[in-house]
Amino acid sequence: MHDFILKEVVSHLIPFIQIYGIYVIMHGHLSPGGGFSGGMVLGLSMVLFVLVFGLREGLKKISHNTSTVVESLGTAWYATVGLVGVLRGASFLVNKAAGIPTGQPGELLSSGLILVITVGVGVKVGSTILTLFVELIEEGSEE
Amino acid sequence: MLKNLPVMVVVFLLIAGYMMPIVARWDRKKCAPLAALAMGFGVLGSLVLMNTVITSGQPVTYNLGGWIPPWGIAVKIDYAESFMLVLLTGVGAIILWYASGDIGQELGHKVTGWYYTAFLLLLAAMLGMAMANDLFNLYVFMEVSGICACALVAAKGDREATEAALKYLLLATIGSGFVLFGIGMLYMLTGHLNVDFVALQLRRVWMFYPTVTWVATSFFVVGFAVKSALFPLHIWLPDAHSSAPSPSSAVLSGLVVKIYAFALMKLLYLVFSGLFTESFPVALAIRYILLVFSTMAILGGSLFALVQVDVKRLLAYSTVAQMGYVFLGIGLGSPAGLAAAMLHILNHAIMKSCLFLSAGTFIHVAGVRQVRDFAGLSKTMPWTSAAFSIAALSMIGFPPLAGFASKWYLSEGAMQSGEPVFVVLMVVSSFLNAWYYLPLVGRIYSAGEGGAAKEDIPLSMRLPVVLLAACCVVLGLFPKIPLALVYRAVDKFLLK
Repeated sequence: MHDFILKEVVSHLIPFIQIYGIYVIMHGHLSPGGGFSGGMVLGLSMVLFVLVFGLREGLKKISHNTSTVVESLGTAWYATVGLVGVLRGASFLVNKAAGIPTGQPGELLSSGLILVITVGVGVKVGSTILTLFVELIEEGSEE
Repeated sequence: MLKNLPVMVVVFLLIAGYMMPIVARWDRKKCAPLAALAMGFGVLGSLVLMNTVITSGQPVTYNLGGWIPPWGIAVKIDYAESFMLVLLTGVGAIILWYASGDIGQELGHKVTGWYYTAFLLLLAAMLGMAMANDLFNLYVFMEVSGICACALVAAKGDREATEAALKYLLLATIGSGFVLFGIGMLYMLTGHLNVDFVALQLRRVWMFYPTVTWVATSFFVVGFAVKSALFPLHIWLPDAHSSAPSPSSAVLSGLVVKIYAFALMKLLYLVFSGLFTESFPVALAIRYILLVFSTMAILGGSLFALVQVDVKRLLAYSTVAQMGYVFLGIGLGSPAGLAAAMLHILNHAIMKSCLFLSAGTFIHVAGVRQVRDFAGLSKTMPWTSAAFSIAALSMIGFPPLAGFASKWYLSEGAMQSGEPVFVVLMVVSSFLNAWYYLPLVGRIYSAGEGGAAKEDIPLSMRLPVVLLAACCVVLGLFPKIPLALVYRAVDKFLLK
């Protein structure tokens, strides 16, 4: 597809979509949304890129290798952050009771480990959405 | 560390499972040792937990995130749960050992990493189901194990396996949907999700809402019966278990269907305990339904197995029949009946894994899948053939083997609850089992070609099978070892 207007508009739009996705992930503990919804927005921005610029350009940005690694690390990150509580002598997935500073309620950094976990979830969901989409496209183009 | 052991057993398997695809990209050969490390930790952890439960006589409890029960998610490991943990990790480790030799060749190296991911996640989910003391947590782990089990079936990627996996996925979703509705109703009635609190509260309120209690109980029975393939609801099982790669078949037939039966047993006797044993007509009806369906399963599964020509389909139908024994024990509800159900969960896990894995070796090395081509296999593969035969004889119920112990205690359970007709059923079903297993064993030891290829069987595919066959013999000779633990578990189930 050689649509100049579409490509130009989308290339300016994608950064804003991604910033919004990151915003939703970061404010998961304060407002509606969180890791899943924010990750979805991030993933859909990449899907938009693949739709407009084509699969080959998209795979140049994020290859299969990268998305595999990101997906695996995203989920492993969740479980690993859960271990922080164990290492500090409390139980699994403990937040405040493990002595993590939680800050002032209502501020951005006010949830201790929840924000750290949500980032992992967001990254994982984003790359999973992209992987699902790419798998579908590749299956179609093979035949 | 010891305090956190219950959750660590699950979390280590989860983390190892998630890391597998990365490890496979980096160096495929490192997958198996890492998986073995995680499984080894699981086995050790389960043994330590079982030891703790037995020596202290108290259940091990654990509150996730430090939130105490009615609010937080709790984990509780009692005799029954520790029994299941050791069974799941032990048999799972042996199957994983076999898979490390088999999976690369059977599936191609591209999916090896993902296969280990699905395998480890499945085991972690089953361990989570076994130890969950929270209904919604149980449901979540059920979904995880359902999806991983589908992935294990679909791993082969051919037309047959994909169709079977899709069928399995759809029916398993219906099953877990029923369970979810049941959980919703219990939550509506009692306002709790923690098993202990639900049980306590349900005893106070069920007489005000008899219909809802009835519906909730039926939903649990139907949901778990679909998931563990009780006879009229078994249609997904033969396809899924026969078209999957052999280690998948072993883990699905040996462990996955059992954990749902165990969950149903736990719910019926711990949550609905007050009503299930009193003169509540619904409880009686559900017991009779379980008895009727399990009778149908025992006879029907064996009759279907009789006419199969593909060895893996035969074994899959045999699983349908054997799940009948487990549900028969649950339905009988007497101490010996319940103990026999749990003993059979263990014995069948070992026998059926042994059968599926050795059949996998036959298929892989000699390239024979049809029963009629089995002639002369004993010459080319003496050890695997011997293991297959021991497990098959144990399935029939020959005296010094594990299957005999299960049937013996089931008969005792039938006598205890005053239903001697099920003793006759045991005898009839043993004849049926002999009818399709004995010709198979005879065929293996008869003279014949014994398959075309004579390549060496790797040690990692031979030793696990022999080990499982040895377990059959040991458990048949000393059934008192697991029964000592099982009877204590059953006492807790039947505690009023």
